[in-house]
Amino acid sequence: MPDKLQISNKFFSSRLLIGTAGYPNQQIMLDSISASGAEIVTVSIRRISLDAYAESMIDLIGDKYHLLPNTAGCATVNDAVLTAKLARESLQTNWIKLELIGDRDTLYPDSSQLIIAAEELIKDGFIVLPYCTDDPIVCQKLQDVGCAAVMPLGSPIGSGMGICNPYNIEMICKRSNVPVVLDAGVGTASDATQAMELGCDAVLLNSAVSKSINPIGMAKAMRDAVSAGRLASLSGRIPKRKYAEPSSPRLGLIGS
Amino acid sequence: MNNSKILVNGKSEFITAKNINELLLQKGITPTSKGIAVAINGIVVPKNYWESKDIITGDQVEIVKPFKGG
Repeated sequence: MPDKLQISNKFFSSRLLIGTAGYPNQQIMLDSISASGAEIVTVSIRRISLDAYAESMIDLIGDKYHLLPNTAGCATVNDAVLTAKLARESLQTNWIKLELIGDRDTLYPDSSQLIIAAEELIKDGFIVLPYCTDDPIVCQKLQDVGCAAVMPLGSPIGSGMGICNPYNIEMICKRSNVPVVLDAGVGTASDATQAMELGCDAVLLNSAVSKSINPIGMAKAMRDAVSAGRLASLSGRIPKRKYAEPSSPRLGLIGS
Repeated sequence: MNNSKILVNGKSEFITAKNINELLLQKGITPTSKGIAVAINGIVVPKNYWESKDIITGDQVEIVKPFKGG
């Protein structure tokens, strides 16, 4: 049985989810997404420019990937819920990456409002994937109201600081009955590997690829990093010891 | 021709369009193009109601589509 990622009733071969923002140009974005092997690709929902034409994301990538709209930037339950409903109409999907930020500087989620918005959307038939803090209790509550996954941050969005609290991420993974997707903070490939080794089911990232010097190369690195971390997690790391443990046999040592 | 004062994507303006379809066309947006979604006064209006849904003075119209995002 192939090792597939299951979220709600859908199965995915790739455990890397990737964003579409911040690439040097459109072609590099397309090539990077392709190189990453990701099947789930995030987009935002924004007011259309009434002054200038912009190419549609649906025409660009809609037929190749599972588009996951987000509510990025929303700071109230009403705005997040309306954005999710507009996204459903726009993309004909009931999947939503729910973001409800509490502060523009940190972009940290407003946990209490996030849970309220998640519950409202789930009641309306949405498959909700919330971007949340690395707080096991918040993750539990999001799970309890019916979220299809939880997506705790490793560190603030776009910070590239990696996983600031690996103990919390590991605890969230151990306690969760729904997939855990590390969302935000990944800076380089080892961060993605660490997330998977800690037990995450997938990694969602954007800036680490789009803002790198070579996005296509970094996208490949992230693809391999996530695969390596997953395999290591399934295979089981050796316990850490305080003293050395020789790997070569002691018996038959010359001079003994 | 009657003018209605409405908010379109947060901008106050007078329009002559009677319904959403007409408003989109006046804004240079093809109503049949993929990914366009519209809400009036906080309620999403499905595409098949764009011709029948009247726009009246005071309406707050949001016209959105997917963009790049993380």
